[in-house]
Amino acid sequence: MISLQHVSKTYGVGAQQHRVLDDISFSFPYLKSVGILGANGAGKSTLIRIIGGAEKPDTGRVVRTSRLSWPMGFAGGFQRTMTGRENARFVARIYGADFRSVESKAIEFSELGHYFDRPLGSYSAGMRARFAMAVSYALDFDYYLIDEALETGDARLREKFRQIFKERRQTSSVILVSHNEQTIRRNCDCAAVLTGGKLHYFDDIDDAFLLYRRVLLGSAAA
Amino acid sequence: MNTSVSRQSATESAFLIQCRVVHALVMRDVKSRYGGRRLGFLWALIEPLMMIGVFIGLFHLMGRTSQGGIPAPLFFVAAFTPFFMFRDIFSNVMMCIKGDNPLLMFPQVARTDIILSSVIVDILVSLAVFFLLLLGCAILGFEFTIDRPLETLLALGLLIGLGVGLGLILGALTIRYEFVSSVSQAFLGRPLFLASGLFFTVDVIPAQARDYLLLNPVLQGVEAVRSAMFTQFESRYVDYSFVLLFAVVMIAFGLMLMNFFERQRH
Repeated sequence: MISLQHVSKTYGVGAQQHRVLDDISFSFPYLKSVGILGANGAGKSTLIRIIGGAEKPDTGRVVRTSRLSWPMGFAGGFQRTMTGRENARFVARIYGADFRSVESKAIEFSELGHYFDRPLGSYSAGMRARFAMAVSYALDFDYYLIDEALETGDARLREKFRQIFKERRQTSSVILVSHNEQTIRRNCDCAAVLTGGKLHYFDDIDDAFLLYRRVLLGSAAA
Repeated sequence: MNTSVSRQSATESAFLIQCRVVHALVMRDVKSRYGGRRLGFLWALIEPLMMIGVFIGLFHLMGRTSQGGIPAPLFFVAAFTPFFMFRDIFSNVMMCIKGDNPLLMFPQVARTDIILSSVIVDILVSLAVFFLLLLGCAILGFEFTIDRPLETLLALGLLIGLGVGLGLILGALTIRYEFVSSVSQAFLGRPLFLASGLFFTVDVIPAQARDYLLLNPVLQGVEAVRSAMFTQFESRYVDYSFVLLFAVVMIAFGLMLMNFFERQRH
């Protein structure tokens, strides 16, 4: 289970205080893909960072009893002087996964060939993204945490990752943050809207978009 | 109950997860520090070797071959290596606390794990360097037996504690006040280097200044190491309970500060 319990987060001091998350309690449903919509600056990235444990909430807590991914495709956590294999092994180790199977899956998904045994620093940006994506899929997560786009690489690889993602959606849960309607509609079963520090959940994506549009219009009017 | 429930790791205790994470971080830290370079671990030996060489040379020019009854090479190895361990721990702990660390993106990696693993690596590397340098001395004909091994370890442990405590406090302050980082390098590094008994023993300090200098716990720690190690040298000035108290209070205070300032991170 991944759940937020009375999570609040405020940025800034004194008069410039801005409450980004305001007493949010929410349990992410099993085996469902939840899209989180929010205008720019609504606190989507903060929410992702708090769910993923990169940042601590001011009050409240996050319960993670399931295997949760790091934000998918994020390559910053990998060490550039270490090879692809060593990095894959590191990740397998912190998740307590069998590193042989993680390695072989990562090689298969990334199609990096002999580059898998070269330092990440020698990869191109595209290869690094591919590597990060492949390692994310090499581990079987209960929950996939996704910030914005899933897309990487050329058309064929994109299609391949899309295929893997589709399969994973059958057996895992997804938390996807985006401001893009297409992305959410294509990948999610239900959605929540982050606005005014609160998270409003809807079983039906269309209802979520009704609110989201109103929020966007409201901020445009103001 | 669905599959993701049965797959979940609720049965695994938080402690086991932390051990696993720290183990992974230690391996990664060692690899990223020494793996990418051609000479790897040898770099860890170069700084203390150079420093010791310089001071043996200076002593030679002054016509001296020993200090406090201890042959110069042994004296400097036993002073610089523990001091560098203290200094590396302190500055690396500080580095771990200040700034954003991309490793935190992994849900089960907490900042305390990163700090802990960095301290472990520093201890392992320093002990290996210490052992190799002492071995080198023995091979060069400066023979010795370690007088009180357990007490030596205790003294080294106190220096570790001091390094962790100081690193925690300054690192936590740096979250809120960025200038602490540069100020502490300038106003702490050099004075500590000069006043921590790296090239003198406490009893050569003029009596008027001695009581003040002994307030520096690092000086006491360094003095404790050689007092415990060498049969030729016995210090009357080491107060273990003072150093222990100093280290414990600093660590506790540092952890408190870190918790307090963590909220103000941007």
